[in-house]
Amino acid sequence: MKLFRILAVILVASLLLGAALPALAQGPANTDSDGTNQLQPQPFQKGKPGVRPEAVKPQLLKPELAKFKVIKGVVKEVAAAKIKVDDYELFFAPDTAVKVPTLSKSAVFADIKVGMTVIVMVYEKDGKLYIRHINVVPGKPIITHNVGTVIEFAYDAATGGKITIEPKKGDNVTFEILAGKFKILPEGAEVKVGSLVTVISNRDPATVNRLIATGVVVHIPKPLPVRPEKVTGTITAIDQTAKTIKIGETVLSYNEKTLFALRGQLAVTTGQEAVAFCVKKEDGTLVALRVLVGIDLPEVMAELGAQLGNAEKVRTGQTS
Amino acid sequence: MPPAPLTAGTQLKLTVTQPADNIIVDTDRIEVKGTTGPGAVVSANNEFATADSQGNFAFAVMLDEGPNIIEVFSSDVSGNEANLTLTVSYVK
Repeated sequence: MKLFRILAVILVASLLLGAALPALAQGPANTDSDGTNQLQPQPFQKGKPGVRPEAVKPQLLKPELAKFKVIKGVVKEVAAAKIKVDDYELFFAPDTAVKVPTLSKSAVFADIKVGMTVIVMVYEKDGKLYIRHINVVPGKPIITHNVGTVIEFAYDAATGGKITIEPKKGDNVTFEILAGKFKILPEGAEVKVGSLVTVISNRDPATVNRLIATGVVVHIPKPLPVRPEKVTGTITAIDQTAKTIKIGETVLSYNEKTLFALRGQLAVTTGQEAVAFCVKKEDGTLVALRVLVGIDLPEVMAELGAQLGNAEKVRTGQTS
Repeated sequence: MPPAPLTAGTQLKLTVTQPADNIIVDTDRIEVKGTTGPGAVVSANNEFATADSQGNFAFAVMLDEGPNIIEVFSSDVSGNEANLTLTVSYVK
């Protein structure tokens, strides 16, 4: 009975080990952070014609994807049902999908010409490489970015429109905008004449000169830092109800953010010498940010400089 | 070991950390991530975004079945440009 139990345990253990080994041999699954199952890059190693390229074993979550490989190259030969891309002989199959960006119609095998750069997804069957998808790579970049100042803009989501910009260099450029296919960033930004923008456009491969704007990024200028104005003189009037202070002939308003600094005095009164730093509002009125009363600014700055100098000497051990 | 990110550009740098070139995926939407100049405009296929103040960008692009060319293009307001081309294949 005891021997029977030992044999049973050995049998179960060997079964479990046998099931686990192939999974371990395959390696860890590669799952992206967004849950996408991705294969590591699997470029074919170029070999002699007719020689099956050695491929690196992929790490897969879905092993059925392993049968596909991707080849990018130039079409060297085109025959009845096969093509040669670089050194690879590739065969067309009934389900081969062909995509040529310059053709508005559905592309077919006959549209593949010698000299075209193509990306091909292939699978192996009976020792041959069959094409599942073949896409022709456009000769020129399709997307362009154009920075310039808007001189004309009209767009309606239902009918489309156009945008014309004046680039920093070169002639004005006009882009078509297709109905419902236009995005503006930042969200809520307004495109208007004078705006500095980047127009993202697609060149329509079928009509070389047709530029289609897919979106615009409005570059909103950062507001320039406001340099405070300085008002110096004798305080001639103070109105605590209207919250204004008059220095010489200049009336300044103050608020809860205004900082008053006094030397040797407890309150701000008329007749005191003051220096005020203020900003001008859109309506032209001046708002005081800082008001120094009885403080000789050059003298204070000199004192401060001397104190800082002494502090530096202390820090660096230069005190005598 | 993850594949090395692709980098391009001189005046304006562009690095794409995701997706890897020549990758095969089984979803029709993939996130393009990387770094470029702060505030630069980055586009790929029909999508675009602006990089943040650190130069990071991320946005999703849709894939057609089969091999897809992902042309990542970055530009700044001074007109500097950089671009990279990746191939991402989508299998249903």
